[in-house]
Amino acid sequence: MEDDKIIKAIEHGGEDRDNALKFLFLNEDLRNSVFGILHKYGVQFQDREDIFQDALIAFDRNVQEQKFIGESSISTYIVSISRYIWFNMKKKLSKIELTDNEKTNENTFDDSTPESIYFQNESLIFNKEVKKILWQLLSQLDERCQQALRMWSEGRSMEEIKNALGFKQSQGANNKTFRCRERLRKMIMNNPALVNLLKSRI
Amino acid sequence: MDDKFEKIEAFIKGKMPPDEMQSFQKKMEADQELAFEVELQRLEWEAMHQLREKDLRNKFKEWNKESAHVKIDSKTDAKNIQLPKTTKIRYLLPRIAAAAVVLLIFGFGGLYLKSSQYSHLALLEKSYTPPVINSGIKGADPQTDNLTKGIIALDINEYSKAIDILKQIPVNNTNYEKAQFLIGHAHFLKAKDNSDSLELDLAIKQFKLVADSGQTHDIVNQAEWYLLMAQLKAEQVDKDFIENLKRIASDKNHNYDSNAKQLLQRMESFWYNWKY
Repeated sequence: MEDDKIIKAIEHGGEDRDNALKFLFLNEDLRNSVFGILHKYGVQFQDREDIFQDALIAFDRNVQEQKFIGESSISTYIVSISRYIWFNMKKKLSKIELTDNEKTNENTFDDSTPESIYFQNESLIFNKEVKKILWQLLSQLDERCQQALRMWSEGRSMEEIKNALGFKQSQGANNKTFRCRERLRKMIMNNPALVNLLKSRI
Repeated sequence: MDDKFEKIEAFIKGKMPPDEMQSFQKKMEADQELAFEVELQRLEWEAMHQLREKDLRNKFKEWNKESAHVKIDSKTDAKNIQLPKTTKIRYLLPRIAAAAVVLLIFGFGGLYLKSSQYSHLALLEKSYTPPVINSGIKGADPQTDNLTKGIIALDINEYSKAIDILKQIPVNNTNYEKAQFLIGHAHFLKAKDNSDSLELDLAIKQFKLVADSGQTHDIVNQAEWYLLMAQLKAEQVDKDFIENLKRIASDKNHNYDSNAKQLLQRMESFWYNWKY
């Protein structure tokens, strides 16, 4: 599959997005590139798979939010994100020093690249505490609500949401999605910590 | 959904044309209510992203399983290919001579194959893949989180340090079970080969403990599989080992059923069972 087709499929959402991501996830060349570079940095354990998956999730989001501008190939981009995730993780460990090889590579990593900007923004806006609170709120929504919101945010059509949730008409799915979103909004607004965060960001 | 809502969404997702983006930003600076609404919608979007992330991680698991089955199926198909029979008598003598040569090659080649491909260490090498434990990249603080620190120490092959760190995780901590499993793995990796019986015994003891008393399906499954890996490394392949291997291979819900099937297939092969 060519790069532009993958991008269009992810942007289009729905089943096209799933197929494109599945293609990337099972792509041996891409996996070998990511695993190879992580292996070089001494990532020998389970984190290679975790980092690869995190990189794909970040890539999916970047494409959907128009942050992937296609200056490099998808493969290069994902390898770059993987490296960044690893360096970022190690940087936080003051007691474990980077090796000379990693220091050299870290210096060659350009902080102005789209992926690094993405991660910098990401860490500034949504720290782990905020994410934790959001999870607590999401877990208060029933499974169907979670599914409706997820599918809607993935760009699925109301027809698809209707079928997945077992509604007879698309309007039912539409109403459900709207109500779930309203519930989520209400929960956020009833949470003082999140309201304070929002106010502080204005 | 109204126009304002859609505009904010386009702004957040970066789908607004650059000139419109600039004027929208100016509007936000002047209108606090609008700025608040943008931040609120951004947070909602983040919440939905978390749902997508969870779903995608589940899909990764499914795709992993699918791809493993495809590999097994293709091997099974290859096994079923029938070889043609040759019966013509006039070719018999040269074939006997050739067979004698083949037997000689078979004898020496078999010895080589047996030790290089079907020894317990060779089987371990083929069967071992690093376990998957959530390292807490996104959720945990590596400065304070001993699980993450332990995993990092394992990554850089500092096994004793990893064990010390992971042992600090108390019984009432949610990561206790994972830590116990990783301690076993640190002992397993610390042992270079079967001569390091102390480390391997500790690994086996630790994996047995987690496999028997663990609460989490994934961790128990991992402990059961890596117990077999440790026993292979220690050359402790007995009746219990084979029974456990068969049990995992036949359990479709076990995370390592595919790996177990492959190992079992190798252990049932002629070369593994060949006595010389």
